[in-house]
Amino acid sequence: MSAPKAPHKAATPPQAINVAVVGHTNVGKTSLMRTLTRQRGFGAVSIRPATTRHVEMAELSVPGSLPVRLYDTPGLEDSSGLLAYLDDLRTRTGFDWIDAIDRFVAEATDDHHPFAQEAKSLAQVRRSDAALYVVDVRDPVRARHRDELEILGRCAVPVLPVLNFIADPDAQIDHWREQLARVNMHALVAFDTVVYDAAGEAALYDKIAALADRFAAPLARLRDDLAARRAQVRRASAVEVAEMLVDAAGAQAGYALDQRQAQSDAEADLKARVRQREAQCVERLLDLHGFGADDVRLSDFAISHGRWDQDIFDPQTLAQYGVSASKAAATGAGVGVAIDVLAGGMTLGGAAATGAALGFLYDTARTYGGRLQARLRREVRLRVDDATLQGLAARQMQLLAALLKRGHGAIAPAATETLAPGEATVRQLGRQARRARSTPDWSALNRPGGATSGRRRSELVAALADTVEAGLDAAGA
Amino acid sequence: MTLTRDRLVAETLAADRDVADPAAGAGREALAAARRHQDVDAKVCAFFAALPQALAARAALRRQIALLRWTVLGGLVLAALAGALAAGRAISGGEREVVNVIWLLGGLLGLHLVALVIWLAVLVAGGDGVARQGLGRGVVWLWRRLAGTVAGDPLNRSARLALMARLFGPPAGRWTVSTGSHGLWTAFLAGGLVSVLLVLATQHLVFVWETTILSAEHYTALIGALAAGPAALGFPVPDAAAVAAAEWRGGAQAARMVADAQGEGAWAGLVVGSLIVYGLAPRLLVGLLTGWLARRAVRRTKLDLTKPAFARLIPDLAPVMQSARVVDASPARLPPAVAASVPAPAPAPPHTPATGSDRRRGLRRAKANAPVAVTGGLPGGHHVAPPAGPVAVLGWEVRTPRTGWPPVVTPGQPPAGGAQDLGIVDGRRALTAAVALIANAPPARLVVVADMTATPDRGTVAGLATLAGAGAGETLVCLTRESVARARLSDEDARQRLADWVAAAHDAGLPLSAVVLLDLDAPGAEDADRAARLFGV
Ligand SMILES: Nc1nc2c(ncn2[C@@H]2O[C@H](COP(=O)(O)OP(=O)(O)O)[C@@H](O)[C@H]2O)c(=O)[nH]1
Ligand SMILES: [Mg+2]
Repeated sequence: MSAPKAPHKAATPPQAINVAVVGHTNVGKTSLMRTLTRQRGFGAVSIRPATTRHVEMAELSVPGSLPVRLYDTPGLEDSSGLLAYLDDLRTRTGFDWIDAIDRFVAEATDDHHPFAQEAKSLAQVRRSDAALYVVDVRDPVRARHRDELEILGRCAVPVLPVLNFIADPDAQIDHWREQLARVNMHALVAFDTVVYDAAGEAALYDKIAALADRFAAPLARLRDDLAARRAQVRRASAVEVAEMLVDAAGAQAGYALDQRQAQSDAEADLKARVRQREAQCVERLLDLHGFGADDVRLSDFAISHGRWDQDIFDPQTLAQYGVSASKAAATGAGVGVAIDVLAGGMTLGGAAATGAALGFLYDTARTYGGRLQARLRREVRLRVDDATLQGLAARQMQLLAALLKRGHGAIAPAATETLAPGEATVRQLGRQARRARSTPDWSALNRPGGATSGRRRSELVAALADTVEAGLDAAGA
Repeated sequence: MTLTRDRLVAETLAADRDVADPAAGAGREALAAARRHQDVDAKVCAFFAALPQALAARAALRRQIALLRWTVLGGLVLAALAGALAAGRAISGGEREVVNVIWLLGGLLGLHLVALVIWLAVLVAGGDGVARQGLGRGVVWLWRRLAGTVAGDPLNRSARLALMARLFGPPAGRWTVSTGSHGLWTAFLAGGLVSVLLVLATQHLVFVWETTILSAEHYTALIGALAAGPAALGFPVPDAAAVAAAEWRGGAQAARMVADAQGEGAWAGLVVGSLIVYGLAPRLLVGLLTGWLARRAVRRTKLDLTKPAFARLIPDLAPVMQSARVVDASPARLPPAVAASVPAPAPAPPHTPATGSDRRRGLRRAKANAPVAVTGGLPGGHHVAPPAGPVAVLGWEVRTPRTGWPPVVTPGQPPAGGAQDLGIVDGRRALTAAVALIANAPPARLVVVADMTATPDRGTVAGLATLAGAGAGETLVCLTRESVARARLSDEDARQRLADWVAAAHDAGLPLSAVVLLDLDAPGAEDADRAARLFGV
């Protein structure tokens, strides 16, 4: 028992950076693993003690560098008991701390050992290059925390406290900072595993790098890679929202003027297509962010089974976003729908003065068959009105902002206020999307085979996506 | 080239989300194929290349590329014909028997030079404008029209859009469109050269210059300067005397005189040489240069991974977490931590007192015979018997309740009904002190106030067991902060938390009815009653 095993200090170059995640039971160690690995399904999480009883490794690949291995460990449940046990062991054997810990770890492999669970955690800490010590800052610092810190401090491995549950109203961050400073722990990270914060995650890796500085380069790479991934997902999400807005803005439905009853059919058809497109956008956003439609309960956004509970064509929905529904009655169309062009009495040549209109009529004819083709001359076109466009923009922005703030450790609906997009952003999105109206060809909702994708459409989508991203910046997401 | 093709295949197939589904059967195989690559771009390419639809996509791309080639070829032929016609008209157009060499060169090269200067200016001024102007755009337009009429099925359409974006969109677009323009001009000038040569070979032309207001020196200097280029390449060019002699003053006799003074082929050399040196050669060179740049840009442009269709694949193709495995397995034989379960029915099991020092250590006993099962509320219900004698109250890792410590339950009454205050215990030393106090003067009832928001773990069990064995007549656990716990937990989790506390008390050797719910922070009306009985007011 003279030479403590320390594999990472061996002569062979390190194969990975090993980071153990330790802490009391039920402080969110497994949740932290989930958020850091972006795996909703990692391990098992519950409010009960000793949910995790094994050590599970997750390897994060770092492009062109050493991988970072995170280890989820069982909780340190009885640290006071363990500390007494180790004290006892030291007085019996005369070992110094590190030898006593290594002896304990070697002895306590038997499942019947009273501290077998703690031994697993400590063994992993001893095998690691750094340890993340997770605490629940809703609790005050207690004797057991001091005991845990005492033991971890004797393991000859740098320890970085991770303050979890910082988004909770009961969080006592300053108290924890002060108490940790008293035991000489000045580096710490505040990182909520449920309310994700990209900057907090970057700080986490930076601080590990500061504690284990020979791994600074690969850790910085990991941090940059994660930032790049996030930027990519953010842009892709913004493009997704932009595409939906272009599709919705361009969506049209037509009916023959002399068929009064056709109006309600056309309206229903238009609304159904727009609703479906919105649901598709929700599904794709969830997919992009690694959340499923059904296993994430987004009840704070009133989404169930991948759809918003409230209909976008319900005036009250719009009112929620500060958008007032248009005076639909005056136009003769239903709520959320505007009559675009009244082509009755106009000749086909007049109505088709623009190629766009011709394209639309052609498509409509193709979609609805000969029935309409015969009546092309007396066509009324319906489209989604401005208020609805703004409502669509606001809702997707809100969902997106929430998804960007959602850690993969989250299982319950986020308790935080969801970030509502700024009014100016929503209005600008509505304004920009309107440009897609005169070109029904651009909307996938009018062309069953998919929208045409010319340069001007791409430019509009990019401009809308820019606005979405700027809006997210403004909302701090 | 194969990488470029693969990227085009990826861009073609990405349009259809159902095709590129990594969860579907073929998608999963493709995923395995893609995992072998390092670079994300290469992974995405490999994924699409391994899909069964890749074959059809390649065929569609081939068709579109062939169509594009034919369009370009057609454009080149048309340009050459147009060049030949224009040059033919310029060289043999006039009624006169002589050709004004300045007008001829202007006609052959003027437009081309103006276009070249504009192209350069736009390129210098600001990048992407180049992709939107010029003759090259025309070819693209033509190809799109043709492809639009030919392409019926969605795959052809996607292939066309993918090609469009990669070849003519940023960043390659400015160079491909430029190359198209230069190519067309090269063909135009080549056609012109051929027709000039034809005319020169079959007609006798007299080249002259004329002026009304300028002096002869101007023309000798101008033509001398023009001739410098062709002369450098070895074309025969007229010398200064020949140029001076070629001034045209009108009249049939003059034509004779000028023709006599013309050197053999010197003027033809000037015209042909200028056409090559100032027309064909620069266009060809610039065209080759932009062609090389275009090729490079087309090849180097990676997939746009911010496109949703690609971005959504990245978690599958290049996950943040590469792999996971258990490195130290769960204990095989240890019984579950707390054997309480929410949904099971709740027959109150007989309480088997635990013995031995194991329990002090917090080791759980196997509960095969005595499973603790709790549903809904607490097994003890709301019934708390009054104490048989003196009461002692102790806090176990709790915050001081809002009403103060020791707990004040009924306003106006002494705290906890005058029970002995053992303080709030946090840590081993405080626990030992409290146990000593209890052992000194054992109360009839020890009330341990604990926090429902805390997770009862082995440390808790060990502490409770120590207290239970300290010598008090009976030990009860009073769970406070229920309102906070309920705010944090779902109903089901709150019920589970209660069950876990009951199980922990049970593990510590206490009866199931030992756990009493009493929110000291927010006591309700009926709580005062229970508190009075609990603390023996
Ligand atoms: N609100 C909130 N809940 C959290 C947070 N971290 C973990 N949890 C919850 O706390 C409980 C315990 O988490 P778990 O990861 O199993 O803890 P472990 O025992 O340390 O692995 C679970 O119900 C989590 O959903 C957090 O930052 N905020
Ligand atoms: Mg866990």
